[in-house]
Amino acid sequence: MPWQTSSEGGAKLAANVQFVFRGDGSQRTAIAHPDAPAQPEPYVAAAALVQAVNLAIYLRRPLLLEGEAGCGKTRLARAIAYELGLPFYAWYVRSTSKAQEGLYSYDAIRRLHDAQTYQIEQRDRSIAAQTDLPLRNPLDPRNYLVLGPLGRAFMQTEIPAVVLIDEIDKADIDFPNDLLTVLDDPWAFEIPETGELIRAQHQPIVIITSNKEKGNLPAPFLRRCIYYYIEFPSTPHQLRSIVDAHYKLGDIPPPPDDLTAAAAKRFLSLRDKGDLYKKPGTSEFLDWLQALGHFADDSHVVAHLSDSHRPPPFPELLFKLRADFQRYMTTP
Amino acid sequence: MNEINPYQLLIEVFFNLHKGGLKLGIGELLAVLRASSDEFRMILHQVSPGHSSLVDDLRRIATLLWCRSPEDEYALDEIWASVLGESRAVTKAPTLDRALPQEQHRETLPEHAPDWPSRSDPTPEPAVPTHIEWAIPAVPARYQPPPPDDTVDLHTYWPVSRRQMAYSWRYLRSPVRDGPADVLDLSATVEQAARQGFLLAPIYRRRERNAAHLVLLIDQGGSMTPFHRFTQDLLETARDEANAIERVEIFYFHNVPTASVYHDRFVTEAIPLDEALAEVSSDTSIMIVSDGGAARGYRSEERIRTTVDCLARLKQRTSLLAWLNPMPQGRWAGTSAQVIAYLVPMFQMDPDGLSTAIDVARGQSLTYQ
Repeated sequence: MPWQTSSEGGAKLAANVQFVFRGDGSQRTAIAHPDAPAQPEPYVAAAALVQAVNLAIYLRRPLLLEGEAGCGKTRLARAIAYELGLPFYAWYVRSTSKAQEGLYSYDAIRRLHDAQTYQIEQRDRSIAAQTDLPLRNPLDPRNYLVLGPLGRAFMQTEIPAVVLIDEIDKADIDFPNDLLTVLDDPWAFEIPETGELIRAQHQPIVIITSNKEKGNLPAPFLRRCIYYYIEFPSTPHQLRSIVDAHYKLGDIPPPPDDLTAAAAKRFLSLRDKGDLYKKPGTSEFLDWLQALGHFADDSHVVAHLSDSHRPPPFPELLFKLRADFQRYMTTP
Repeated sequence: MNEINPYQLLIEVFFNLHKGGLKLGIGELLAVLRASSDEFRMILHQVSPGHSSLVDDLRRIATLLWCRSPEDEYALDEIWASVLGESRAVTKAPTLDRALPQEQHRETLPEHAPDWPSRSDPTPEPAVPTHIEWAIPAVPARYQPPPPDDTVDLHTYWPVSRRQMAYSWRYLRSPVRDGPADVLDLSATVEQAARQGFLLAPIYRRRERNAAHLVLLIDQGGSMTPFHRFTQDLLETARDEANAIERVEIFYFHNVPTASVYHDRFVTEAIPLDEALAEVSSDTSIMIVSDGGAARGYRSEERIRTTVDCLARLKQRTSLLAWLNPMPQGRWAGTSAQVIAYLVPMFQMDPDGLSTAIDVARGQSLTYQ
């Protein structure tokens, strides 16, 4: 257990604790880091994935997740942070992202502005009193430093943080290589503006997702990572457990059992047939199931789903390409 | 089972994978060894109950740390099974009656390259009369084709990966500051503020823009058909990748660029060569992608003559001219490509060739005279 109650009564961290992710959220306690996700994350992780996560935690190497869209790559990091009660920082990479943005950004112009107005404000305190904003002292460059997700994770003094680097392949071709120098020994980066060297006391747990949009990641980067390919659930039973996990937490009543079973079967048969250009993912299945439970006529929907000759109900949730849509909707 | 040293096994698999082309460092081997500590194995067994041996755990950890794709995992499984099978056979051998002949027998086996490891069967063979069996020549294990992947991804020969192309194109640049003025010049701003005594406005510089102009002439169809994938990658990386060259013009031709080239890759919309080259100045780089007859393997005078004509017309406009040949250099001898290579800097299409061709095309060649 990461957190212990000390004799003084306050919550304190046990030193050198080894975090173990179980994948069921069972370890979550009332005491968690303020930056940890407050909302439980329904996530069903395969045993092999749980092992991969634990290996990443143990060796503190980045865990690189690949897999189809909508199979839960992004959700995993939040689930880990929730379960272990660790602070969670997400970095959603864009095409213009630079590696440095994840560490820090520095507002030089504001400092210059403050330097200009500082003396006036010092002279005339009434201006400062009117605005009731605290005076930033331009002599201290740290006032103009904003840490990014990785930077904040590096500043943790008591426990490691979980960092999600989402869709790393969206960024420029050099981006992964730039990150590599930070995510390795000695786990430190320099801020030239303040002359600080930030060294991680607790190496963060880094989860990276990629969908190979722009070809492969560079070999030296791949070499450092632990690789896991998230497979789409292949049995109705697995889909079933995902549905259960989702409805366990919410206020929405779960759909009836026979409906879930029929929907899972139909959904998997649509995927397995292999004639779709874009296969629907887990998130689409959950949306579809919710629609079926709420809008469809209860008495007929199960029979409708079981009849493979009829087009599936609510196709707009399943088929996202015109070709796929037409194939299923025009067949008698 | 206990006689196998799991670490020996791991190291052997590591070297086999490394030989097979997986890019692994010693750090990765050490990481697996670190993770095979009792502490971490306890965690593994905690999260997934059930008995598993050290060998199984090592394999699981190695798979996670070393493999980067489902194909890699398959290769590791194969090599693991074959190394495990061999080491079992060796450790089991002394317990069998025919241990000695089998050892000799094993030595006569040719060392097969671990490119595609054969699956050796770990179960002992049924007992055979000892007096005749060793006369039979060694029969290598039957080749078993891999099970079909559900993703159709054929393993092919890649002269240059897409990533390498994107990287190489980056060197074709002539930066010009004429973009929008939105790049903050910090030191100039501070200096001006200090000079004036107050900050009036931050100073912005114009954004840098890659003003390089590239004309790609791509041979399409015929002997180039097998390379269409690469030429397509080449033009896509030049045109679309981040920091791509701003002006890329692409024209196609069939076999030899003649008086006209084509706009589309189905070589239907013709355009006169002079018109296509209308905007070509002495700063324009021209890159020709063609096998120059090397794929056919013979010398055609007509082909050479037409190419010479065309090259002369190109050289009138710019000297930044390079030729990429998807056929390896060893295959140029005795073909039209050999002659053409005397007239224009021609490079084979591998990472070195591509970057040298780009060096030539930007007029900063280090190697080519």
